[in-house]
Amino acid sequence: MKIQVLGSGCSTCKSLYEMVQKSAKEMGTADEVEYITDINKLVEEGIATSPVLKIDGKIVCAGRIPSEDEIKEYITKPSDKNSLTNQGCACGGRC
Amino acid sequence: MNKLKKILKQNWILLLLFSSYFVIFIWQNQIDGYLGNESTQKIVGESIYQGWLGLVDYLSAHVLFCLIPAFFIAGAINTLIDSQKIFKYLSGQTKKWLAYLIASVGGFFMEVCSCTILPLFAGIWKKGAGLGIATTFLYAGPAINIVTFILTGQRLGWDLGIVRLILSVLFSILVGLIMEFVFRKEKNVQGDIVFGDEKKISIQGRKRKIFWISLLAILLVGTAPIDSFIKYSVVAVLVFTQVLMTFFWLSKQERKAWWKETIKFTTDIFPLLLIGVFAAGAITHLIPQEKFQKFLGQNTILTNFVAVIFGAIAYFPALVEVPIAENFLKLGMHEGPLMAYLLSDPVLSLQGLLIISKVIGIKKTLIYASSIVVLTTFAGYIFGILY
Repeated sequence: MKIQVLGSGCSTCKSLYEMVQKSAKEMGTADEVEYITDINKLVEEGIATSPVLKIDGKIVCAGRIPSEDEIKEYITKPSDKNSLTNQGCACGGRC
Repeated sequence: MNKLKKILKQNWILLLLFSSYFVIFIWQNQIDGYLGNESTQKIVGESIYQGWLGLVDYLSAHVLFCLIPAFFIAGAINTLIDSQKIFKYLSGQTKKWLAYLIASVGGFFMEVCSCTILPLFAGIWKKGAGLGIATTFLYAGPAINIVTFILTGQRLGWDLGIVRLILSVLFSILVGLIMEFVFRKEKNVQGDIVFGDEKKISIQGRKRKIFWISLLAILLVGTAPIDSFIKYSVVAVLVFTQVLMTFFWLSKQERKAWWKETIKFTTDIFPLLLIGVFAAGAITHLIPQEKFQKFLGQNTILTNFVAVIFGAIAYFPALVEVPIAENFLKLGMHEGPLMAYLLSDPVLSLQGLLIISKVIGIKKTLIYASSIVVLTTFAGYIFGILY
């Protein structure tokens, strides 16, 4: 399984990266979580938001921080984009 | 017990605010008397006293009455408006003039933080509506937002606040058009853009209108220059109905997200703002007023230019430019250069330009920065003549 976190490198996507890492470890997934902060890479993929969680090349969550349970659910069965919770950007205007 | 700890940890800023407000309210005279005392002043220093005076001023009721509702509105904008829907207008299919308008005014209705602004900018530029509209968006994002507008109006006067807002909208479009014109030969490839997930918002239609109008009314009445008894009673009634609406109309998740976001804004901005107020007050005291006034008290192209460059070099946290400007005004700065400074400070910082240049390259960054410098310098100059 390929797990990627993409973002602009701010505190928001970093915390998502850490959360995903922790969840993957807890679930015993052996795969490394890739953390991409190169903005040009984001543009290439047409991603215009931050942070983005990709599993097996599929975007499962974009522009928000999902809860830990959600992340675990995504890792067990990566589905298409769906929004369960409704949080704004977690950085509060300055990050 | 753990729950209490958690609540304290999340909401410490509110406790701090209320307790400091309480302390100032009750003991202001005593502290003033102590700090104002000549022998104390010799020890703590006159400049610390000046910083303290600034703090008291910012923690007074009239500032809190405008800032706290503004933070709540910013939080609501962030959680209760589906800004992703608005961003979709910038993906390239929209008519050009409409896209420019949305990119510029949009800043007011969507709180975009700096970590999402860069990917959005890059995405709109490369795969969406193009460089011009992307630039407008990049400019408008930090320059135009409700908290900045409210604080500028409250502290520096509503005439300056409104002019600052209108010019920011205008310049965001102008700078965008300049960029589009200069680099008109470059074509972007329109493609699919991934924006953030859409939010489902439970208030729609008439409920939504009532909710937002009443939220804005709290701010308007709270800042209006009317009799304080009438003001406080009206605000109390409005806040009460707003709380009712929040509990009946919003989902639990939305309530939680709104609260969390508001606290986050306050925690991120307020302490820095207060430190800025204190430092500005303290440092201003050390600046020789005569020399300052002799030079920056004039409205010339040079003084406006100096003000703009100062804004670019000095990197202040969001909103701190307002207390800085306030102290400049006290020192006798002319309104022209002051406006130039206010216009350029949020959009022009060396650090910001460095980050942008990594995305769009040095040439485009130079054109972007120099058009801002020229526009804000002349705007300040003309404003200074007319004021």
